[in-house]
Amino acid sequence: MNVLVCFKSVYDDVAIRTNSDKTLDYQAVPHIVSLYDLNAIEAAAQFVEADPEDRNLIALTVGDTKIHDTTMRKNVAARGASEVYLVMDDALEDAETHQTAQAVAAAVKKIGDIDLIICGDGSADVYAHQMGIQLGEILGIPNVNAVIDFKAEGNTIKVTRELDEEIEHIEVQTPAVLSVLSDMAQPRICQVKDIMTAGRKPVHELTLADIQCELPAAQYQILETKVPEPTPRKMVFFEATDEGIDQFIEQVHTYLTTEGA
Amino acid sequence: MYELQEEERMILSMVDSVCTDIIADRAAEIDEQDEFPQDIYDVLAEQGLFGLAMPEEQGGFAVSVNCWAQCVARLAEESPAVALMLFVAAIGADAIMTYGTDEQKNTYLPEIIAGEKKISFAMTEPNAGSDVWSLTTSAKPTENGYVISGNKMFISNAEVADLFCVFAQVDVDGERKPAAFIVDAHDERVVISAHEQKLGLHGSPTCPIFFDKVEVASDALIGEVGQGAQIAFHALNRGRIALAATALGITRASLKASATYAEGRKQFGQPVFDFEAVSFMLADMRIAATASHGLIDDAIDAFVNDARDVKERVAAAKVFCSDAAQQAATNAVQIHGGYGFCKEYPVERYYRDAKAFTILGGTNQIQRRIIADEVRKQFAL
Repeated sequence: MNVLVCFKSVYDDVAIRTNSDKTLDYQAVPHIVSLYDLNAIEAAAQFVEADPEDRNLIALTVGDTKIHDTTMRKNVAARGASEVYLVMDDALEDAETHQTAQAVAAAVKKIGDIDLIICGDGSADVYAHQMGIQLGEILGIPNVNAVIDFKAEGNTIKVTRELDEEIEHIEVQTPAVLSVLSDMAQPRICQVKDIMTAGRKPVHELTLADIQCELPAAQYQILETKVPEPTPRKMVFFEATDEGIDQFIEQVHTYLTTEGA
Repeated sequence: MYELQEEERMILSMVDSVCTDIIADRAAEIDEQDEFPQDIYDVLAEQGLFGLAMPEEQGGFAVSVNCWAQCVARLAEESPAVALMLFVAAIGADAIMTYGTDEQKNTYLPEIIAGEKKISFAMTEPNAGSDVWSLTTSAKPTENGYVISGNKMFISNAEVADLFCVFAQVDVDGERKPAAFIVDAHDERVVISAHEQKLGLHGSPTCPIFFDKVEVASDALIGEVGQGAQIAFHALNRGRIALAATALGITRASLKASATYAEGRKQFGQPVFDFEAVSFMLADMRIAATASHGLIDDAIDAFVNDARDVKERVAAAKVFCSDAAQQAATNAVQIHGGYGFCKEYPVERYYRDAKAFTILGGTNQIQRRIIADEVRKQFAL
């Protein structure tokens, strides 16, 4: 069974700085694997490692040419993928979800013979929760989100979903797309041997032309991205003195009996 | 400064995750309990960290000594006792790696790399620290090997060791010649006493050992009889690099804790960070950390290239980094004020741990003597 896990390259939000006009400064900010996708990679890796003779893990990302980062691909390979596909094309810069889904679907067709596609719950930058759903729709295969567990029995995937107030158990036939919740699997801390062998795994660099993908037109335009003004603190306490603690309790009590009531 | 290779940066990042996710929560407890943290040892072994600087032929990863040292430094930021696990394994195995036969390498190194066996470096004696010529432990030749007799002191991780790299004098026609041997720590004639109650470095047990006429086969000899000093100096140089890196970890930890505290602690309506007396101490810590890193890289450059002045350059790194760590930890306590004197804040532990590094691996006075001897040769003779 060939399992494909999708991951997105995003700016490392810890390194993003705010300019004086509240716009974001991405200069020299490294790309990292979207944190939610690390959960998806781990879930997929554990699934494959449960039956390593019959299962194989392939990793795929699409994006602009800025994702050309050898550390990132090695990081993914070290987490259990046997090979990594990167579709890099500047036409994918700031791609909307439906454009990315088209590119991923075309890449899946190009790679071929994929039985199961695993996606994260959302991406760390836009967190739209749409990739898995749109991908399944484009490929015309079942897609299931909010997944917290899955197992395979032949061509049947038994899936557990976590909904607002219930746990749902369903079955789908392969090929299928699953979007897993972050709680399903915590990313592993790679071992030295995984890191040292990651660079020897095959990496396939493709363009949109290579996968015969013509992107649909964008449907919206980002006019401005700014950091919101911070909410002013109602009261700041510096000292853990008896007097300070009394003041703190009084303020909390006032808040709970008025605004927070 | 040495620039880590891509995989080496990833390894350092992995060590950072181990520190943040696992060791950070255990560091204070390790200090409090003063017991060897086997659970953390197992984590380091599982991650492959004991194989970092070991040869690939025996299952190691042969990363640069720089990468290994930076991993030691990062571990030391959380717990110097944990960082010393890598130090003890490396200094203990150095003789086998560098002077051992293929059979010795293939027998011992894979198990040390896998964490299945722990090896300790047994050189120091009650009346001989770094002076291998003054050792009194003897190895008497027999028909099939040697009989080792004598006392050792301050042997790191001795109570959990499976193997010892033991230095002893062999009597050859009335002449005492130092030699190194691999000794089974579980031999019934190896007596390991309870670990010392130390000021710091709790969790890294340091024990006296008595070798009570321990019989070893001739293939326990590492290198040749008479090569003991050469073998010891090589291991000590590697060890001193690790000690310098551990000290660097304490300097960095002191800086991080102090900067965070100074920004949050407000007096007279402003963070104490804003007071020049405090901010200059923090600046000095940063300078010391950067300079320590540079000197460690210089020492490693001398070590891996077998430079003629390797002893001096390694000694310089060890002296500077340990003195800097002690100063940084002292200032960290000072910046924290009364809180710094309490166990509630980690700087109290840094202060106790830092002192050890001005003594371990040869006191800083001995190291300065090594450097001064070189200065005399270069400029005064």
